[in-house]
Amino acid sequence: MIKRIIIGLFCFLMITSSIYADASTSEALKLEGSFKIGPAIILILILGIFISVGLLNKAKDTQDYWAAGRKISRVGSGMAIASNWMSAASFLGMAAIMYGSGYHGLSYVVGWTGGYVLLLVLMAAQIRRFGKYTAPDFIGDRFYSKGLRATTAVVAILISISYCVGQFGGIGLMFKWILGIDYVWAVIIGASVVLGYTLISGMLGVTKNMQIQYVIIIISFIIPLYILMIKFNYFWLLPQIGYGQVVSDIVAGIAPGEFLTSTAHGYAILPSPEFAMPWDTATGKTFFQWMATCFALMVGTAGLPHVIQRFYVVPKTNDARWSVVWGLFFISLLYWSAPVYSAFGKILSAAPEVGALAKDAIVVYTAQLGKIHPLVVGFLAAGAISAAFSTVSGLLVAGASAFSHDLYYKVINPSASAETQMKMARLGTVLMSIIVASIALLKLALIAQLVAVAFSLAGCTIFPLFLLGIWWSRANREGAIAGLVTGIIVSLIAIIYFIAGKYGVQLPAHEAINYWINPWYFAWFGAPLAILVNIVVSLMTEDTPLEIKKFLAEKVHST
Amino acid sequence: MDNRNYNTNLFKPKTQYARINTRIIIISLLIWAVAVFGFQIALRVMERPVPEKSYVTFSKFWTKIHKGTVTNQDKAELAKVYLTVMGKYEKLRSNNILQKAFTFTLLTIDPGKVNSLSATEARYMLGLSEKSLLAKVIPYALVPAKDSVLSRNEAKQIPVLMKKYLIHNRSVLTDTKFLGFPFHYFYTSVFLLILFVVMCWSYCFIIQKVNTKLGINEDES
Repeated sequence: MIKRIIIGLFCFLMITSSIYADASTSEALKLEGSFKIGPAIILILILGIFISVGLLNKAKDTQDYWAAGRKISRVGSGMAIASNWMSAASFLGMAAIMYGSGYHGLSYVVGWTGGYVLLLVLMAAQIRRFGKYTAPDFIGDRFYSKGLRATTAVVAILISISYCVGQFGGIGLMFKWILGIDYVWAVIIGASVVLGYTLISGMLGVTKNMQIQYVIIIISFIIPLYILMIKFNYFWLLPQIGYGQVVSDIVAGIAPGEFLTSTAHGYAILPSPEFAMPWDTATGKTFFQWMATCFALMVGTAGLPHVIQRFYVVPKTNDARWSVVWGLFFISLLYWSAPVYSAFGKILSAAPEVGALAKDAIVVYTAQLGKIHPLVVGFLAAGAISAAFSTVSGLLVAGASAFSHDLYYKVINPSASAETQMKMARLGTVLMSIIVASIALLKLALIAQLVAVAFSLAGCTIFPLFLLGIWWSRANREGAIAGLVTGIIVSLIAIIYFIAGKYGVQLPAHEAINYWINPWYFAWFGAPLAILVNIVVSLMTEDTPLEIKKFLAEKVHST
Repeated sequence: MDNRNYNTNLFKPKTQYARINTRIIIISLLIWAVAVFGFQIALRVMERPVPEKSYVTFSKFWTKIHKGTVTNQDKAELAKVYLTVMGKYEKLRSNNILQKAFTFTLLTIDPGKVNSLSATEARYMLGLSEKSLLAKVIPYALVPAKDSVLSRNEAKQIPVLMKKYLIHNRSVLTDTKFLGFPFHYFYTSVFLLILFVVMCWSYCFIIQKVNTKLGINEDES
C-alpha cells in the first residue's frame, strides 16, 4: 500500500513538474501571499490519500477506535509513534527556534528525543503489561480513585488542546502559504479537514495513515536538503553531517561569491558566532534556560497521554519496547535534518533586503530562497501539513478517548452502550477542534513554544503519577492527589503569568516567575516537586490496598 | 501472603530479573544524564567570553573618542562595527540607537554632508564595495541628520549593545572542528541522538537476552 502510494506520488510529481516548469521562476520569487497551484494540487492529492486510507480502515467498534485492535507491528507502531510525534513543532517549529535562538534551539532537539530513553527504560513495557486503554484509565485504577481518573482525563484533554494549538497554527501557516488566503480562514479550513478525517477514521485509520504520513513527512523534508547541499557545494551525500561546514561558515562569515538566492542576493553572511555558540547573550537565552527546557521536554515526553497511549496498541510487551526504538530512530531522521534548514535559512535570509520572515515558516522560506523548484517546495509544505495532521488526529483521538471513555463512561454513565461511547468520542473531537482552532487564531507564541507548554503540563501532572505508580507500590491515592494538585498549581501559575503578561497585566514578581517557571519549561521545577509531594504524603497516609500491590507485583513486575 | 511481599520498589528489586533490570535502568539513566547535562555543564565551566574582532575594534576607538584622539579613519572603522552589529539580526537594523550612532559618526567625519548624506556616499566614505554585505546594511542604518543626535543615556547603551552582540562564550569544545562542525554543536545536534537510539536499542537487546536466558515470557506470566 505504502509503496504504491509513493510510486503514484513520484509519478505525479514528475508529470506536474514538467508542466509547471515555466512558472517556476516567477513563483519562486513570491515568498508568500499568492495562490500556488502546484503545491495546492499536491496538498489535495495527499489529503485525498489520507481520507481514502481512513475510509478503508474505518473504526468498527470502541476497541478499534481507541487501540487499533492491537494489530500493529513493531516497525508499523514505530512509524506511527514517529508520525504521531513529528508534528508541526518538529517539522516547522524546531528549525524556527534554532533560526531565531541558535544553540538554544538544540535543547528542543535533545529534549524531544532524550525523553524516549526515559519512556523506554522506565515505562513502555510496564504500561503495556498494565493493560489499560488510556492514561486516565491507568491512573484511575492504579490509585483506585474515580476522582483522579476524572481529573487526569481533564488534564489529558488540556494537554491535547495545548499541543493541538501549535499544530493548528502550523496548519494555518501552511494553508495560508499555499492558498494565499488569510490566516484566519487558513486555520478554519485546515481544522475542518483534519476534524472530518479524524471523525471518519478513528485510530485504526489514524494508525495506518500515520505510517503513510511518516513516509511522506520524511521524504518531503529530506529531498530539499540534498538539493540545497548540492546547489551550494557542500558535502551532500549525508546532509545531516555535511551541514557542519555550513554552521562553521556562519560562525566565520561568508563573503559574497558566485551563488545567488532566489531573490538575486548573494549567498553570504556576516560573521555570526551567536548562531552556534552556547547560550549566547545575543539570543537572550541562558544556560539555565537551556537545561530547564531540555529537562522539561524530556519528562514531558514520558508523560504525554497520546504517546503513552501508543503502547497499548502493540500486541506484546517486547513489541512495546522495540516500537520505542523504531519510533526514536524514525524521529531522529527528521531531528538530525531540522538544524540544516535553520543553518541554510540563516544564510539565505541574511541579505537585509529579504526583511523579517515568519520564523515558523523558515523551513519553506529556506527552500524558496535556495531556488528549489516550487513543486518540491510545495511537497515540503504538504509534508508540514501531514506532520501537523498526523499529530492532531492522534491528539484528538486521545482527547476524545479521555472525554468519552474516562469521563463519560467510567465516571458519568457506566451503563453507556458502545454506540453511545462512540457518539461521545465524536462529540469530544468536535468540541476540542473548535476550542483549539479558536486559541490558534490568537497566535500566542511560536509553534515549538506552544507545544512545549503541553510537555511541561504533562511533565508536572501525568509523568509523576506514572513513574511512582509503576515503580513504587507505596505511592497511594492521597499521595497521588497531593502530587497532582501540586503539579496543577505550578502549571496554573506559569500559564496565568504568561497569559497575563501577553495582555499587559503585570502580576507580582512577574519577572522572576516568567524566568524561573516560564511556560515553556516549568516542569523542571513542577515535576520534581510533584514527585516529592507525592512521596511525602504517601508515607504519611495509609498504605496502598493489597489488591493493587498484588496486581503490580504479579502482573506489571511479574518477571 | 504478607502484604510486604507484594511491595514494589525500583531500588529494592526482589527477583533475579528485577535486579538485572534495575541495574540496567540505573546505568542507562546515569549515561543519559551525564551525556546530556554533564556535557552542557562542562561546556559552561570551560567557556570564556571571547570578543569578535569587531568588538576589539570598537573598544579601541570608543576609548579614543572619550580621550578625544580619534581620527576620521578610526571613525570609519567604528561605523563599520555598527553596521556589523546591525547586519546580524533584522530587529537590529531598526534599532534607533545604532542608527543614530552610525549616522552621527559619519557626519562627524564629513560635517558638510549634514543635509545630503546618501547610502552611496556613506559607502564611499567607508570604502566598501557595492557587493559587500556591510554596504547593503547602510540604507537601513541611515537616519536624517537632525534625528542622529544621541542623548547621554543612548550613548551609554552603545557599549552594552556591542558587548551583547559581539562577545561570545567559547572554549576548546566550541573551537575544535569535527566533521566540519564546531565540536559542541556536533555533539549536541548529532551525537546525542545517535547515543539515544543506541541506548534504546541496547536496552531492548539486553532485556530480550535476559528474558531468553531466564526463560521468561513477559506476556504469559
